[in-house]
Amino acid sequence: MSFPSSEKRTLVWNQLREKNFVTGEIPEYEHIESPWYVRLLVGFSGWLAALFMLAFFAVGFEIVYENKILGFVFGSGLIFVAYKMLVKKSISDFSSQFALAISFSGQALLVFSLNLFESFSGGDAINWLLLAGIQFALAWYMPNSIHRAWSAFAAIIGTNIALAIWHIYFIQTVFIMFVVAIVWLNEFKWIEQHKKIKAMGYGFTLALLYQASWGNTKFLLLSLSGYKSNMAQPWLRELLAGLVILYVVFELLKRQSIKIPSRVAIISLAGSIILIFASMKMFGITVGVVIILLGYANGNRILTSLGIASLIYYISAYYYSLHITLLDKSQLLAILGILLLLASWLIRRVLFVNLGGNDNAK
Amino acid sequence: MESKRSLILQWIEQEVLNKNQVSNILSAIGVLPDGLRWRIFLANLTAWLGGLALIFSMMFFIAYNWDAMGRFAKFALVEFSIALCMVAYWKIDKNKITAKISITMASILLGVLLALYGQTYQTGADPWQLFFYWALLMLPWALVAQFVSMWLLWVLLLNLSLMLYFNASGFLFGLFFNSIQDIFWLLFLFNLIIWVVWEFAATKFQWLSERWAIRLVAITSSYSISFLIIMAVFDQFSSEQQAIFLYITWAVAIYFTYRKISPDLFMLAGLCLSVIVVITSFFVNILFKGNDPIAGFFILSLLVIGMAAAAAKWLKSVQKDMLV
Repeated sequence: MSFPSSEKRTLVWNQLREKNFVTGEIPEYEHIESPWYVRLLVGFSGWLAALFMLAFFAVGFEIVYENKILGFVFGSGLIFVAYKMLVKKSISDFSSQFALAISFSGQALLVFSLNLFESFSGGDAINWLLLAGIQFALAWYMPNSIHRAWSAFAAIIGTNIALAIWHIYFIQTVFIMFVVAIVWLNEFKWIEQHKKIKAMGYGFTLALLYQASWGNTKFLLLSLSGYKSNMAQPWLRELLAGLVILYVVFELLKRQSIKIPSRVAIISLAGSIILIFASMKMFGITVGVVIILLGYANGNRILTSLGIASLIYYISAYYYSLHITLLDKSQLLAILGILLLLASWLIRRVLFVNLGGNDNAK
Repeated sequence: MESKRSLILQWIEQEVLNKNQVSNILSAIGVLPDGLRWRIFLANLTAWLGGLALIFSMMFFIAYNWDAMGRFAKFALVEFSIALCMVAYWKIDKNKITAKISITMASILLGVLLALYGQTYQTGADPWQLFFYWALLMLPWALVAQFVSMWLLWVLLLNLSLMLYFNASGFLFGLFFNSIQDIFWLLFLFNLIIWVVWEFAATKFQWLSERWAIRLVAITSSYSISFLIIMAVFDQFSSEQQAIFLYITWAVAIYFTYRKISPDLFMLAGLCLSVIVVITSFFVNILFKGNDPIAGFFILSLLVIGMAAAAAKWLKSVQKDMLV
């Protein structure tokens, strides 16, 4: 069960009381937050309803699709109506679902009216950026976590497509990686906006996972078909990703009050550098490792699980990448495997000294 | 840990806790890891990743089929690796995570060995046999290891072998299954049996009670029956009535099991999703048969919104009951 039972509430409350963070009796339930899978169900249904609604507009109000300006105005109007519904303090489940479906339909109308799928030439980049801007605004202002997560995801994808149209690909993934790192590292610093930050953080993380898998493949195919990059090359992506990893490790060391010249800091940074070298030929692993580290650092199991799943996916997908032979991949993985096992042994033997640790904990 | 975290954040939002102390509070009750927990986590993570990297390295190497290395050298390499993993498992304390990693690696390498055997001797065997014998041979290790991930691997291998067997031969199953949809019947029934057995076994063996593993099996089984019923709704196969009857029985059983006997909100949310998709398919079939599509789309949109809202409301009330 991923939500706290009464026993757990009492247990945590007593723990807090022992440590003098609270006094008095445990507070009553104010509202209960649904677990992630219920929110996923609601989000999926919202999109399904939005598809039917879009089809309804397409068949019943053809003019909205034919006239781009009207489509844009109508789409924006739908989003505004959804906002007005969601902003109410007491909103029923039906109304909240309805608002989601209306907003998703409005966003789809905006995509049609901005001609985003009609061509992939340089001229459309501004429109993609416009869409990304709208989605960023929606992620910030729409008072609904599912909407925020979706809009954050769409905003990043829109920005990346714009960059790709301007022939800047490969480095978008690092750009999102950096955003993801900033958001999760500061999750508790920006506690006033926590709900907003958390929902957007998930949206950005999903965008990163998408970009590091299908997104890159798509741009690679474009580059093979004569869609040349003139600003960035894969090596630049790997180098910048390495810097993001170092930044994350540095921040996490700081969080643990570990000084940089210490033994722990040196081993951590040395391990990160090994990982950066290994990732020069296997990019996905850096993404997976960063998400796992951020998830674990924040006590966020969903994020950690996402990182583990993505890491397994990236290593499996590595089989199909064509840039080096299977023999070379095999050698690279063998070296990486030995180094990682050595690192594991070192952590147990060297860093556990005087700490009385064992490896039984999960 | 996740529930503790959400509880603290909820109390901060309610202003029961001081928001400026959020990191201190989360650290004090163990949501945020301290130095020791970080080291344990990193030691385990690097051990898992190292093990995975070595296994994938071996797989890629065998798949490359390098001519410069003879067949016996290749066999020796894989067999030596399996032996090494088993020796490590034998020597290490069985409760340690490193022991579990060793036996899992040995089980995966067993598949690499079988693949190498097939590649070297060109036995002409069907692909299903690889996965079936792999599952069969790793069974004793899975029994010994008492490790959930290994049992999931075992279930996955049997699922793969069933699918491939069905494609390769109609023998035996051909008596009962004779169309393309039947593979979904097979997957549904097989995973349903695993699901039920796992739920019962989890009450006896603590190490099997990891909910995420049972949920993965449940998703596979539920996906299969939902897919079948959608096909039945659109008249894609003959045994429509039996499928509808079975689906309703399945849904009622899930409801009673996870609402009344052993409450599990995830399973109930999955049931809601399945019911929403199935009812929507049913109405799509009715509304678009010779009717005006404009009203149809609008009705469908409202229907989905209504069902999702009702599901969200019901799940919230179940969650409230579970909390009390």
